[in-house]
Amino acid sequence: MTTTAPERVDLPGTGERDEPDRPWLVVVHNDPINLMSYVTWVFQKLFGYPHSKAHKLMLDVHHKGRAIVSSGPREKAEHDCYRLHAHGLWATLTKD
Amino acid sequence: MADIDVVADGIRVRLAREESDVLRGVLDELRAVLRGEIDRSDAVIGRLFPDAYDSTDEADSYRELTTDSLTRDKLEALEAVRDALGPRGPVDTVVEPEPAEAWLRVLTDLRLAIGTRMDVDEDAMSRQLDPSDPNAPALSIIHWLGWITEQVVAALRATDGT
Repeated sequence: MTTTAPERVDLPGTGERDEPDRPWLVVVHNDPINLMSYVTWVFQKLFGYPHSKAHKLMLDVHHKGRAIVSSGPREKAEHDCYRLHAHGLWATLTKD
Repeated sequence: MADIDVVADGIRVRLAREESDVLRGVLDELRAVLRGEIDRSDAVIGRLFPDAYDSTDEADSYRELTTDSLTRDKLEALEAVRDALGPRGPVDTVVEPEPAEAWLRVLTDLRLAIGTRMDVDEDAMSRQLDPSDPNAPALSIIHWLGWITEQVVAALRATDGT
C-alpha cells in the first residue's frame, strides 16, 4: 500500500529553506468524522486526481495523520485550502 | 430508511417523514450557527473554519480574507438542501449532480458540527451504539447522515463514471 512519503514533490534541498519560490504545501489532517469515501471523492473532484491517487492520499491522511495533497505558489495553495475547507476537510498551509 | 437512487436526470432522494424532520431540524441548527456572530471560541466554528496557518498572524489575515465568503458558500449550500426538502412531510426529490455536490458539503458540515459538539473521537465513531450512552441519539444521526453521504458519493460516481 503506502511505501513512500506522499506527494512530496519539488521540495528543494534542506539548505534552501528561505528560497522565495519554494512552494507552499497544502496539508490535509486526519479527523475522526469525515468519511473515507467522501475524502477520496473530494481529492478527485478538487484536484482532478485519478481514483488510485486520491485513495492513496486519503489512506495517508487516515494512517499517518496527514498528507500533502497539493502544492504551489501561495495564491494557489490558499485557493486549494479554501476549497478543502468549503468541503469540510481540515486543511492547513505550510512550507515545512 | 432513506433511499438514494440514480435516475435518468440525477439522484433521487427519498426520506420518510421522521427522517425529513430530523434533517430539517439539524439544518436549522447549523443555519443558526452560521448566521450568528462567528464565535472563535466555539469548537464547531473552529472545525468548520479551521486555521489555515500555524502562525497566528497569518491565520488571522487568512481568516479575515475568507470567512465571509466561506460562510456565504456554506449557507448557500445549506439553503439549497433546505429548499429541496420542502417545509414539512416526507421528501421525494430528484437532485441533479451539481446540486448533489452541495448536498455532500452540507451533510459533511452537519456531521462535523454534531460530532465536534460532542467531542467525538475515532473510538466513539467506530463503537457499536450503546443505547444507555447519552450521546447515542446524536451519534446515530451522524451515522445516518454518513450513510446518506456514502450513497450520494456512490450515486455521483455512477453518474460521472469516476
